[in-house]
Amino acid sequence: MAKLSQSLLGIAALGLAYVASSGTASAACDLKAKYPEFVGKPLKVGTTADSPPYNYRDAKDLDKITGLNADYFRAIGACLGMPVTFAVSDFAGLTSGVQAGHVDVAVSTIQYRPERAAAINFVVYMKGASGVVVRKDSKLKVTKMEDLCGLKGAAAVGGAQLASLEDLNKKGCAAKPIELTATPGGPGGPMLVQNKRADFYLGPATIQSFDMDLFKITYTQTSNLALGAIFAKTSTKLMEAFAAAMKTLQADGTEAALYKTYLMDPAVSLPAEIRTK
Amino acid sequence: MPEFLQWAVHPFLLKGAWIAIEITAAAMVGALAIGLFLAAMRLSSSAALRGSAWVYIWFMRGTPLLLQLVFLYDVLPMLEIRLDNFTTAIIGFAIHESAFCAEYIRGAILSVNRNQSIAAAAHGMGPVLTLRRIILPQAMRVILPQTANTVINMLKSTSVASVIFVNELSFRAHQVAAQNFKYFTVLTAAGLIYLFMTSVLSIVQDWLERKYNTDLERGMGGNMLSGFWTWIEKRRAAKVGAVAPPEPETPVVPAVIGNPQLDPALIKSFVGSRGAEDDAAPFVVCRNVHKSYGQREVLSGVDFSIKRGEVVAILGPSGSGKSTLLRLINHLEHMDWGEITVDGKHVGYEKINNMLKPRRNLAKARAEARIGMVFQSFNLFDHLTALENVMEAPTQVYKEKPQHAEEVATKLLASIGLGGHLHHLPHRLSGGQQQRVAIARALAISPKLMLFDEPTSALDPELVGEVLTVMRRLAEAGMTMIVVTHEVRFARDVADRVVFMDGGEIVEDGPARQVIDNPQQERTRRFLRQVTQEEAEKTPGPA
Repeated sequence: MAKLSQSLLGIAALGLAYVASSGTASAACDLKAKYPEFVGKPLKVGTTADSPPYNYRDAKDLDKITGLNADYFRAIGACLGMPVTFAVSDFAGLTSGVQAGHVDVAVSTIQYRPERAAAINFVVYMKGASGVVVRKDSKLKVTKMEDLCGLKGAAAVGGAQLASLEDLNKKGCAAKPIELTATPGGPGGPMLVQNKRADFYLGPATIQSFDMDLFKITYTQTSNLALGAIFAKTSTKLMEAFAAAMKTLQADGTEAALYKTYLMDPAVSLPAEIRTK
Repeated sequence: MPEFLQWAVHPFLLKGAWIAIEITAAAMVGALAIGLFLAAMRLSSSAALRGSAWVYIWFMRGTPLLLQLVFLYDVLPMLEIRLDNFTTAIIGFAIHESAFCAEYIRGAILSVNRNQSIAAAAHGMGPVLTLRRIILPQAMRVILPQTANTVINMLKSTSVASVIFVNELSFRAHQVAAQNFKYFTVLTAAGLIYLFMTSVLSIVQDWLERKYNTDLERGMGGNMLSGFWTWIEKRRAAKVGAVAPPEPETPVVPAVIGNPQLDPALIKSFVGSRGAEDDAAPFVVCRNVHKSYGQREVLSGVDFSIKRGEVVAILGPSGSGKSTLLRLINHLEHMDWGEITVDGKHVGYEKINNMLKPRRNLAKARAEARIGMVFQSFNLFDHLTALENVMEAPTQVYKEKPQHAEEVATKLLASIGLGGHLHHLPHRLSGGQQQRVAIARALAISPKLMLFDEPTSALDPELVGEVLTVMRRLAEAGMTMIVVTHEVRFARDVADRVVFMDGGEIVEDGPARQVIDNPQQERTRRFLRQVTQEEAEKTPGPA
């Protein structure tokens, strides 16, 4: 835990520039022969595009979606011979968009839960790494999650962090629960903290998610909650191809390179795995 | 340039604004069209139509827009109906807002005086034409502010469509802020773009309200932006070398006292333009006419007839069924039993199995019958000038060329002393002037028969004379006229016959001087005594 935190803050201290990659293609990943039925077909990806460094708009070309997930999915598309296009909605529209077939797959730090898997299929590939984000001048000291009990907290609706805080309220903070606000994603949560409407925001544990002139990450944790891409129950073949490509990209180091590009700790990576229930 | 201004002109945000405009414009067109249709259904006499519209409105108003969008976008594909996100947004907003539009359009229609529809029907205008030409233009004053509110609200709330992958202005601003953390800067820019768009809408609203404001004489201002519009018009006029419109006259045009100078030849041209068939044959025939409103019987077996060119005055106390009889003659209302013919034809009835059934296209039947009608409360079309009032039926119902109709209307109005008021709206005319315009309007359809329903009852005594003078000239020109009136002196001097009605039946019918000077029935004598006494208490008009 501390190692992760030190790593993140260390990277921040180094003042590494913000990098917006145009995508990392893998020469080793080529599954076109194995899945010929998908070659040439578009891979429509639904995303929220408001969660740096995972998926967000490129500052130089706001029509372009960039980030770890975006580049990761482009690499998967290249591996399968499928040109990737992105469709942007808010978080609530992703699941229904996949189910109705408007997009083939959706991604935006969507947490796997068994009850969700009853409606949609997952390919998980990442653990939820969360950071307690506070104002730069905050005196709040957090050494464990239970230190947040009784405070005002915020987290994005539908995300892994909100689920972990709700879980905390049922267990460690049951006697003195956190006063929770579910935000619609994007900058809404940090704004609550900046405006002193919330004491902390539990968000992605990466410095690229926040304005470090205003905020600091005072505590980080890697949860066992798995994040993944979601597919309609009917598109099992595409999901298998997608998972196969992801495994190849994990094996050939492409994923690790993307983590490096986007200043993320590779420790949060999970072996790609299909979860259908 | 400050950063928020840079963002305010950034193509990424402007593209989002354009998407919001496109969705709003298309959806509002749909919402207004559906809303108008639903409003008409809600006002229909058919319970099935009313009920269907009510259920639609109940459902669309009662469920969230977000839910409707998701349903259209994500549930319909299960039925193999796959709409793209932009189309879905337009349809979703249109069907959602149509429910609200329907209700305020219905309210606006109801706010227009019902007499306007009656007058339109009396001049042969059908329901759709009446709605388009008479009701909606007047209802616009109520519809426009509500519509502007709806448009502006919709423009600002298109961000709801982000749930179906539509990336409009708010959503884009939010995403830019998520990327660059400049939340206030970017949202301020988005706010400026919204303010610009809604400002344009407000100006359009103001222009439209001005256009449909019947309180304003054409070419006049009257609100905050009036100076701006006047300046625009003057500039335009200057560019084309036109003469600026004359300054409006005093708010109320003084009434013309005295007899209008009538052109007998002109009047005759209207009266005599119909066929001159057998003058001895009855022209209007009423046989055993019955009419009830609920349990109350208004007419109980009325029989009478009049000849071509005859002037018949119908006298009688209030509630005796006089006005109802007139409305049955030109089929403004259905009769319950009996038969009425005008020039040998039923007006809007056809005989099926020896029973009279109302025809489907009643407006056409009324138009073909060419029966002019003048009402107690004038019922001029409030949004039209005197000239336009007179031209309306000839151009819209009888499809006369506007230029010809304008020439005729101008001559008609001039002949009854209103040549100086052609372009005045009704509310700027005195009661007597309005009633003379109403007579000209009825004359303009070249009527075979003129019905007058207490044409002077709503006038001040000093204005009665100018109307009666016109009617007298019509009678002299040979117009067939049925006049419901309390003007006993006029009836005696002008009418060929007087019919006295009481309690839904004809009590006495005979030559005018005989019935008035020597009534045979006690009920007639009592009524005449009462009316004569009331007339004596009033200042007599120059009849």
